[in-house]
Amino acid sequence: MVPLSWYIVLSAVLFSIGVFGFLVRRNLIMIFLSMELMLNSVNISFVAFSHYLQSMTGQVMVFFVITVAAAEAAIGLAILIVFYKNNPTLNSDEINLLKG
Amino acid sequence: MFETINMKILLPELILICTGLAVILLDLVLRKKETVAFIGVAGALLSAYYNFSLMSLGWSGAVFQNMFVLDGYSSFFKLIFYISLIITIFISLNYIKTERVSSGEYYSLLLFSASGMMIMAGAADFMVLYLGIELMSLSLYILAGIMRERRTSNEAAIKYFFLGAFSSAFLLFGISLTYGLTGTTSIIEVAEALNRLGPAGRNITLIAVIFFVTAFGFKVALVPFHMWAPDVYEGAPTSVTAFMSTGPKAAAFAVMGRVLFYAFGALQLQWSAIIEPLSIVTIAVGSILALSQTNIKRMLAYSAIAHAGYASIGFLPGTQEAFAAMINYLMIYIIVNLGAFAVVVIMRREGIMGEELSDYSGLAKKNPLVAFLMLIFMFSLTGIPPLAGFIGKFYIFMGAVEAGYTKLVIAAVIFSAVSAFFYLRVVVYMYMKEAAEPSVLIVPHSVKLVLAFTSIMAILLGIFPSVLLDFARASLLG
Amino acid sequence: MGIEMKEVVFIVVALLTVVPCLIVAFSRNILYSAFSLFFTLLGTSGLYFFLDAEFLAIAQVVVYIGGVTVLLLFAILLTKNIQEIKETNALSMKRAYFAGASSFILLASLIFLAVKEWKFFEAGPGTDYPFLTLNQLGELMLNKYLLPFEAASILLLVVLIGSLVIAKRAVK
Repeated sequence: MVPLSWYIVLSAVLFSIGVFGFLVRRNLIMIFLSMELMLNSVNISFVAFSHYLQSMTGQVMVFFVITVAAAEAAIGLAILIVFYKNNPTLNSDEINLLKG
Repeated sequence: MFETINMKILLPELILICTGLAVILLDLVLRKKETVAFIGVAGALLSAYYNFSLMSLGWSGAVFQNMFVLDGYSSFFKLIFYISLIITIFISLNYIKTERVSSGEYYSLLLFSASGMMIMAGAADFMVLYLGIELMSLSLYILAGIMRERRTSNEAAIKYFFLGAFSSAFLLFGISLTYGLTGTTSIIEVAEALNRLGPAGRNITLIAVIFFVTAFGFKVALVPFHMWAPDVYEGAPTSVTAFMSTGPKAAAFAVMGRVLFYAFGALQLQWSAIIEPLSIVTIAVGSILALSQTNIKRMLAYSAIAHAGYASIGFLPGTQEAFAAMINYLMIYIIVNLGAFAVVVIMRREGIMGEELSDYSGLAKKNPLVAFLMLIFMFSLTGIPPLAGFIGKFYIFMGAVEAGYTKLVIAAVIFSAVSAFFYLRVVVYMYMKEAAEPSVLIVPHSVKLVLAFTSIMAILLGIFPSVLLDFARASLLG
Repeated sequence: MGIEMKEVVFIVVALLTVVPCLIVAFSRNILYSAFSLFFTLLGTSGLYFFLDAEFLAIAQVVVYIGGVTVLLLFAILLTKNIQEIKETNALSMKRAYFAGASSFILLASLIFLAVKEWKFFEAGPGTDYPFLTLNQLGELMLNKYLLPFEAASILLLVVLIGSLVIAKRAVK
């Protein structure tokens, strides 16, 4: 029997890698990939909890997270491509028309 | 096996969503685009009417297996959303014509976003809460980037999208930890489970609370998580900025209150300790950075950050009284802020951006009434008595002093004085400087209506402060 | 202490998930990263099978790998600019320290939870977990979780409208 804490550690590792990638990456698509990693790690923890608690709620939640993630991917990439058409860079350091 | 579903309680949301659908379809048929906007307003009014008549009939309660509630709490916030939505539609009428935004999609996305907020306010389950947040946010990402040809708008959409999605991931991790500990996602059951567990598993709950505060911190733009706000507010279309800085901000406060008070009420001391430094740093950074801004939208963005800081002071005492002061503050802030944005919107004319402070020079000569109203809004945002903004801040500070946060309140008052500099700078530009070039300022009728409503409210709520506060108190009770 | 077969399989699947994940976050080639994401998602799907969540495992493959990854590859190809890719794929060093510190704190605190507080996560079993999750999932979705289900469908409608708004041609 694999203990639950292994799954939590795995999920924590994935989440932290995702956060690191999100903060450190310059290319917008890579930032987007890191975000997907974070959502994915959350899903792992939900399913693991669901299994160990023997309750279906976690699985239903994951179902919705997957739906929303796909929706976000569609919107996010559409915004990204429109952005790229108007100013051909995906470097987050160069996106500084509005000074932050 | 299927319970009979009481759809009545969902009627306000359903009406708004159906209006959104109707708007996008009718836009194809109707020649006159204003009609579409008025359908949107009518839908919002109808939805508000149903919401409050259900409340007065005593139909409030939880439906869908305790997933969604209609109570005083959600109704108060829904009132904020209705005001924010209707005013935004009114100030958009001419603005989106100038910006050449296609009206059907614009209004329907506004309506969908507002229905997302209503779902957030009524959510009694983390699952519904998450979907409400996403429904609101996804509509807003698109609205921020709806001026496809403009680079600033693209940039605003990109930044808003990435930071919004980042914060959602934190929210989900918080939900996941809570679920792992308590075995449920229902807010009430989480509270029960936490009471049952007592001090056991506190570390897990604490980390979950930190994740929640981080996620909501992004949504309301508290300071370490605020960096997206000025860029997004500046780049997005002005009418959308007006909407974003009011409705969604209030919605984020609504879910923050719901989660912290109702689910994690047992950890009140801990989350107060987390929010306390955030609130004062937020006020400081928002007030100080606003001083150097020359773009009025950016200035109002930093002002919005500072105001989120003031509002979050209302969480600290953890009492219902302080929370009533907070929602009272939010209502006043959104009304005044919408008024200020209505002025910013009419400054945008064919060929003139009207976003720089220098564009306001000589406004008092050009249009004394608009300048005077802007003065009222600026004074009210500063918190000068007897205007509404003062009352809002006063109750918040009073609640915090009673709970022993005296030092924090003194610091907040000092920064409030600092904020007078940048608000009054707008007034100085309007009254003391000469206009660079003469240009006419036409105020559309719809915006006149908005200006009248917001300025009258800004004065009346200042003179009769107890009306709104009593309403807020009563809302929290039932 | 004997190591069970299940644990070995778990470790293999976990490695299959984590190693590509590292490539996603650190690789300099954007296409490598995208394909590594594919493997991470596949590994996750394997974990779902491991946890008796067959339907989710399939949904993961269909939606993520079939949908999101392909969408990503399209986005990469539509926005690819060879000279730029090389520059932008470098990690931003000035942010690396901050990012490293914050994600390390995050990781440490979560692992602390998992190791120290694990017993709280092993709470008593609920009742509604069936042997085959698919039927149960469908029933729950249309009964207990009807409201989020409907909310999700509105959300998808918004996305449909929204992506059209973003992608269509300018109004004349």
